[in-house]
Amino acid sequence: MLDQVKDSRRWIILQGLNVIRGAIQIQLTENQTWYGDVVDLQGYSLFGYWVTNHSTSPAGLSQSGIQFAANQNFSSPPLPFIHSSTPSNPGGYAYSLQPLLAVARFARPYIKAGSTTGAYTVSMYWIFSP
Amino acid sequence: MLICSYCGKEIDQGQGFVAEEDENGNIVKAYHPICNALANKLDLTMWDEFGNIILQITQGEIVIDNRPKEEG
Repeated sequence: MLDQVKDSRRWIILQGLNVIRGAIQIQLTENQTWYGDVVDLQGYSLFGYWVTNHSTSPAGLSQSGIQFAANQNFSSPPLPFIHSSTPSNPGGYAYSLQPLLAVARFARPYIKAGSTTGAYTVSMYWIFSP
Repeated sequence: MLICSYCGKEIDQGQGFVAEEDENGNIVKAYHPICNALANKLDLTMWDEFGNIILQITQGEIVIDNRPKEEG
């Protein structure tokens, strides 16, 4: 399958665009936070992301979005330049599609579950572009 | 250094992880995303850049596993 894709025009376009992107659908229990792969933003900007809340009960996510930091470990502490857009309602979604200039060296997507006991199902995809 | 509460191996924070934090944001427990799904009987789906499913876990059971072998 991958070989077929690599022979296709789609692969050439993807290589030409040279974007960094990812997608995940994840379930978290209460008070858990998922942090995605750290992206080195040198030469890149956040192009956009989309978060969908698939939960019904409990449904209230605490937060989701993109965090920025000056160091790869996001320690001491992460910069306050969080781009947050959180779908709190069941079946709700939130997104950012405007290009955001990188003001920090590193970024990562994140999703914080709510505090009510249960499983929170959320999907997210994100794109960074040169 | 973070250690996964499920498999006991070190977590590379650059590769993504799931954390349980206290009120001050300090991490008290951490998992690899896959280990979190296995440990807590949760769902997880991961895709590659072409939309193909790399891994699907349903209620803690692996139902699709297309990960390259060298990644375990």
